[in-house]
Amino acid sequence: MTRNEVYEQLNAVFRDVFDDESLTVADETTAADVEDWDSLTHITLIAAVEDAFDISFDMKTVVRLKCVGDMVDAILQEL
Amino acid sequence: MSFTSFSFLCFFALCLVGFFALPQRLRPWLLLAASLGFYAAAGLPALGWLFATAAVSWGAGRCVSAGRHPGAAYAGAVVCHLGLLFALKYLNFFAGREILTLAIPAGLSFFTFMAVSYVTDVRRGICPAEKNFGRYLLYLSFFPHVLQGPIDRYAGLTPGLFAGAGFEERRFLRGAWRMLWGFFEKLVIADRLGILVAAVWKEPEAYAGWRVAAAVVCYALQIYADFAGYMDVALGAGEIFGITLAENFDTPYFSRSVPEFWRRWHITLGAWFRDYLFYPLQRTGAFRRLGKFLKGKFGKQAAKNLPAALALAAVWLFTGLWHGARLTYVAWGAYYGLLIILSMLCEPLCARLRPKKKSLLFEAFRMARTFAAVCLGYVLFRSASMGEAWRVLVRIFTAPFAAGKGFSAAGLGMADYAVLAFALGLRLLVSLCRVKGVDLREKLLALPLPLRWGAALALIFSVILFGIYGPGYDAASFIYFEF
Amino acid sequence: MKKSRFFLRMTAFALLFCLLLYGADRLLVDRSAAARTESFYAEPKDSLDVLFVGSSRIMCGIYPLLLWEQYGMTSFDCAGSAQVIAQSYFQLKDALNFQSPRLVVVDVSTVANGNVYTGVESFVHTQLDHMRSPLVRLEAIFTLLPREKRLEYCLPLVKYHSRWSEIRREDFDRAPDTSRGAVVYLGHSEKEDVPPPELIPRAEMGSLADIPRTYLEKIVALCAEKGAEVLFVNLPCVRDRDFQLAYNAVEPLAERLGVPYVNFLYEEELGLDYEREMFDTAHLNSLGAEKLTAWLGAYICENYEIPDRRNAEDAPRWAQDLADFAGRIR
Repeated sequence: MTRNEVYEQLNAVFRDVFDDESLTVADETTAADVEDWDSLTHITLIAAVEDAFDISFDMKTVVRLKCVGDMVDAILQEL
Repeated sequence: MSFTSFSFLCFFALCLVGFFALPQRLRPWLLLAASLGFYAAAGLPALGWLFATAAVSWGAGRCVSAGRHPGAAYAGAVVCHLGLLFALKYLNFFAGREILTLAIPAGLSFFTFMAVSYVTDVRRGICPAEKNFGRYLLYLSFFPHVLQGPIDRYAGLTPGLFAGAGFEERRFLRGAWRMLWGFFEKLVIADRLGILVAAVWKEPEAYAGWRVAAAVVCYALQIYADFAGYMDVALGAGEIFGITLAENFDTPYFSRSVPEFWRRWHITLGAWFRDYLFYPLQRTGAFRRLGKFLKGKFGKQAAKNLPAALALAAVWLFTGLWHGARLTYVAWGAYYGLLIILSMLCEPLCARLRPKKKSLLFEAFRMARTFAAVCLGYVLFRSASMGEAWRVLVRIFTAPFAAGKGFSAAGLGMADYAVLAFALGLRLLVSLCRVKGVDLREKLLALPLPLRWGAALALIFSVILFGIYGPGYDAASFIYFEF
Repeated sequence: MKKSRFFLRMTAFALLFCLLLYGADRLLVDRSAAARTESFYAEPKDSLDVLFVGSSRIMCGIYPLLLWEQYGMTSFDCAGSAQVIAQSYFQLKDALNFQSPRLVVVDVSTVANGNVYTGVESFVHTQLDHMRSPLVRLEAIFTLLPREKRLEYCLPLVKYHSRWSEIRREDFDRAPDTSRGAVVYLGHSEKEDVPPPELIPRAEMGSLADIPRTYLEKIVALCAEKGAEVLFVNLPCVRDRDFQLAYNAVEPLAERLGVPYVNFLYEEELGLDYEREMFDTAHLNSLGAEKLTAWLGAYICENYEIPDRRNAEDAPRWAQDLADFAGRIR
């Protein structure tokens, strides 16, 4: 899978989790940039991403994830 | 040894001399010796527990990274640490009677949490296991954070902790200014407000309700000055040694919501519970299955909210309990748990109610509302028993304008109130600088020498003259003869 | 290069800080009794021939200016309120760094107190805060005081720093004290009557506690070292049996040390009228003090070689101070 393909699916996940059709994420997007993405919804988001790509993140990734770019890197590693 | 004591100043001065006089590779060892000596003042049994905790977590870390029964080693270490914490601090409370009569070692809650964070991070692969026991012991026992935190992560402190950074004028002065400010907060603000708060809490019925409410606000300021002051001394000390400890406060009373407050107050504790309880709990099989079940039956929102709410409940009960084996602490934790869960559930509604443009008035309203909620929590936090908390609340809400004693009966005189006005004004100024992103210390260091020295001496003498310390001075005892 | 410049600047800063700290100390440390204690150091070096050491009884009972008037004796009351023997030892040790008296008269009245220092903190502060021999002061702090109290005595600011809100004009213009350590009590105390003492037989004596006995011995040794003679006195007072047993117990000690001991309780020659001439059960009033001072002056002249300094260079100052003092007591 290429990075762009990952983003296609990832954007869909984000829009679904945060109920926002206009949401688009990029490498530099962080939790501060997305309304509603905080520690309370973080796990929900992670679970949704894992389901969408049929992968499993380890705790190290979950805890250290700082931006969407990290997430994409982690996804590509798992695929 | 209290940070704001003369003996600590002497101890720290000696550390400084030793640290900068020694060659680089010996400096961390000096810090270790100093930290163990500092902790030994809390008693040798306490030192024993600290040592044991260090040995267990270090050993488990090595087992895990070497692949020798990693699962068992990890689980064993966590059980040991939390078990020790439970046994020494909570057993008697939960049993309802005194089973164990061992003294609780100072800082137990803090270094236990640090040890658990270390073994967990090693297990997760976040940081490599430390091969050298002395280095690991330094991490756990480092005197600025061993008694009251911050709860530093191993990855966050290394390699700076062992670098033995050389002397650098700017860093030294910044650290010194921070320590001085911490002394000011603790001795001038916190300990002074503490007198008034203690007097009102002792007999709330003697004061009008609004005065009791004012005392609660004073407590909010007191505890902040106390804890943040301690942190400033700790972080300032670390900075002087070239070691960056984690920040614990980010002008919390400017928060606009309760969840935001807990991201700005005692930051390292919130982060610990998030990373080591909240996230792992939600990632367990049981929680995942619950989420899937809820999504099917009740939809996305429920699936998002209910597991999080359950996890929050657990986190907040434990956060309350962590502060002490007292019912009021648990109630306080439950109070915040409830507020945060409600806040989470109401978020979509609140987002729609908020004005689109950022209005200063509305922001101020949100800050005031948050502060009020925090103060209400403090009634529980400050009270030794639920009955005491009830008395305070009843007085505030049922007799707000009743007759009663004035503030002059609360142990502070006019001079004290003048000092508080000055000190709190200064405190507000410093906070505003922080909120606006102004680096106050850089500005101070950039001043011409006479102004710099003037400011430093003014602050130092403010602490010396206005600080609450030493035996109380009683002018009446200077009558000429008695014998 | 930069490091040394930094240390130079820090040293200058530290010096400035110490200077300001000293200023704060002078301003804030309680000086209500300072005029009296500091007036001792105003006397020219080695100009005093007799030192009276002890408790408030000395201050009230002996008037050095009258001794000068009648016998030309230069003396000083180096005493402190409720001062026990141990404290008197250090007071004397400090005084001997500034004066070389021929005679030291020691008030033994606190010999009944077995403690190392009087429990009244403010009195101990008055004695120690103004002591000018830094080593003696440190020795006194570490010998007499329990560990937890030492810091506030080494750095009196620890105790007095909050006085900044009480600074008044008086703190700045205190008139100097010229009574040579004496304090004048007029008339009678309203708190208690003074019946004549019920004396126990002189031969009846208790035993001295270790601490007062040790320090009396140390005082005698110190005086021997400095070439001063010693005289023990017990000034008139009304005290019960336990105290009197202690006063009488000084006699064999004095004999052993070769020191004369005048116990005024048994000195009928003095002819003290307890009702008229005592302020309270422990202190003489101005009438009693005049009487006692005259008697003691005669005793000292008879038994010791104390020069008559009524024509010395310093005499006009003593004469002036005497005139002021006389106005207060008569």
